[in-house]
Amino acid sequence: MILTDYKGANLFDELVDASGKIRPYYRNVAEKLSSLGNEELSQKLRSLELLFLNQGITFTVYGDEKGTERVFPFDPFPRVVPAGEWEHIEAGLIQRITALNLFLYDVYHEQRIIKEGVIPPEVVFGAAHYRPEFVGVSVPKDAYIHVCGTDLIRDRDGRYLVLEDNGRCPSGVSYVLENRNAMKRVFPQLFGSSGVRPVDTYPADLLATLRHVAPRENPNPNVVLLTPGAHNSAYFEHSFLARQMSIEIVEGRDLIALDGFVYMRTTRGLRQVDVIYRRIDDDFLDPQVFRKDSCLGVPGLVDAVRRGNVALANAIGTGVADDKVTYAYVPDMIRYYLCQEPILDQVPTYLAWRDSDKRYILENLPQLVVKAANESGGYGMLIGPTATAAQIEEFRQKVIHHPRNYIAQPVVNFSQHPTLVDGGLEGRHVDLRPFVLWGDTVKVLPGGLTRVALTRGSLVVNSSQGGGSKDTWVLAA
Amino acid sequence: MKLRILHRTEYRYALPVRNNANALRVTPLTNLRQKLGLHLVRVLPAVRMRRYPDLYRNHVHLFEIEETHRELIIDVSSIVETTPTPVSAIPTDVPLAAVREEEVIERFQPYLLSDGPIRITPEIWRAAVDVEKDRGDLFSVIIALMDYIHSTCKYVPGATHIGTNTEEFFAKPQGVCQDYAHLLMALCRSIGIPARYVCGYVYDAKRGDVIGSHASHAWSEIWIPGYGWLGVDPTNKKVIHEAYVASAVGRDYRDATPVSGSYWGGGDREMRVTVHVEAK
Repeated sequence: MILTDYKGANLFDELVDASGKIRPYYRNVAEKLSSLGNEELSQKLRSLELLFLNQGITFTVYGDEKGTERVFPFDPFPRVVPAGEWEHIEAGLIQRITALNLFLYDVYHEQRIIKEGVIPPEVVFGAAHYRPEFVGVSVPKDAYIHVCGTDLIRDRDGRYLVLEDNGRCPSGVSYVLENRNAMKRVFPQLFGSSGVRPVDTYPADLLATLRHVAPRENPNPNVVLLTPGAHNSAYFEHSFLARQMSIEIVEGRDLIALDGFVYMRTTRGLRQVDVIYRRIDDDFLDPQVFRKDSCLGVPGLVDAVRRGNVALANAIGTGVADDKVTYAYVPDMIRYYLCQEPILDQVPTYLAWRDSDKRYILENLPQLVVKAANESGGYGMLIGPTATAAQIEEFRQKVIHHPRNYIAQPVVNFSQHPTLVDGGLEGRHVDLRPFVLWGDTVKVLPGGLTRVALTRGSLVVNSSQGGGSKDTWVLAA
Repeated sequence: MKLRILHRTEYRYALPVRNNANALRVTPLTNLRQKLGLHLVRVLPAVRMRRYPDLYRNHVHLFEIEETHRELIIDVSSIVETTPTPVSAIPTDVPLAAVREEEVIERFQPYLLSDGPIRITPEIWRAAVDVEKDRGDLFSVIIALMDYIHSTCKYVPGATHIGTNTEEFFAKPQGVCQDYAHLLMALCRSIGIPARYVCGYVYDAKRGDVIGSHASHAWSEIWIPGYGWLGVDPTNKKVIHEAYVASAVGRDYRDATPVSGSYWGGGDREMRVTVHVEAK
């Protein structure tokens, strides 16, 4: 692989600094990668591809007529995060999840942050995923978001910015673990003395987090993973995590709620369930309470949750915290609940429901990114600078008619990372999704999913929109 | 040295309690010796946190839990970077008379009093004078007093309680770090040397060598004119170094209590404190 031709661009490059010199913490891996011959490299790439295919590391694209499953594209050049940078990220993420959990507790109890005028009521009550029916319902250990995947990007100066919090059912962690496995098998020599922090404790940490909220005094609580089924885009991850944690993976029809308890049907009769790691959205959990047409859920599940006989991770109603309008208020939340200044910055956000912001958005649509407040996965989004006139017009109408549903942000030309394209290295935009676990202690997985936009110049990294991923190396020192 | 500190305080109440208001002094200080990085206080039940700096510039966290509960967990995590305090920088030529200057007495009056748990008795004064005798400079007097305490007192957890004063401890010298620190302060103050109380943490690199590494620790600081506060740990017979992290200071234990509070409710209460200090 030839590194000498690689050049940074007019934005933050992860590998090289402004003068084109390789950053010191990349030297080790860059040297080893560039010592590989072309023949050797293409052989390794073929093994990687086979490995991913054989492991069945796939995802599903919605709205695609052709096939359902695709191999998640993988780039072998790892992203390296030095220890000092990681410490900053870790501190910021822990601060953020703490504030978000306090916020969720508050909006489902006394709602002081609203009464004291820190957050306008319409932000909370107008959020599509706010569940007023859960006001006053206590959840074990006051924990709402047990697993959080927070998307970070870096601006022109290399500053990490929070792009969004995923506090419902964040996915992607299985790719973090599998990417590392693949790298270790195909490029063992890269790891030699690099001091990369391991990620393989994640399943055990996740299980501990889930067991922590078990409602009964039971030394061996029954934890299950509830999946919508094999057609879900993240089914690979569901089965992967269940296997790694040695817990049962169940679908709605495998569970039954009786007298306020939830049981799992087994070949030896019913067995009580204590904790459900659910990878189903709130809407589909329980047809008695939420969507009546859901056949993925369990009738009576919500009743059992209310009675405190079963714990859900993440809890019901966390969507109000990762709503994109709420996002704009997270710094205020941190100040309000923790009496601290936010450690991680975030992207400036214009809220269409505020009249002055709305006017600004409508006047500057071609320069802005417009996002639907409650969508995720890169669906329902407008990137002004690359959009067609028709798309801009479509979003103009949406913003005018449903202002609560839309926010806008300036385009952040986020950082790029060298990526293997047709045998050479080219810069491609990357983001980073670290995973935070909120249990007896708060843990941040040292690493995360680095997603890369494989199309030149594209800022969309979502796998559903043609993104790939990289192994992420957090250095120990 | 970069240290990660996890400090957990758990209360279990036999009967439900409410209106549980607490003040925490658990935030490591930032000064020339140490710099606070990540710091987060997590409380269960979930509650909003307020902060203010007190008279001694300790960081105080305040919270109140109104609803009934039977369990309170306070988790504090901190990352602190400490710098070594070279012993060579401590002056060994400051005469004892330097602390008897009018301006020192005026400025440090609160740290010279016989007050609260620091009870200066004639016996304590006698002991201090005997140790001080013939020693010219302040530093060697402080070290001699520390050695004196370390050799005459015995570390016996449970022998004293939180309100034990120096008179009681001096009469029956068995106790814990708080008693050691108070006694050193009483000895110093009795001969006119300003002394204050420090609550904090200590890292035990060898595992088992240092007393106080599994709970919050306490030591004393003595004023040396021209140098500043010198930290001295009589429990471990050490001048404090980079393994020590101070979280609160004050006239005595009462100003630097890590967790203090009140609540409505009767019944028994059980408290458990765990501290882990790791080098990063």
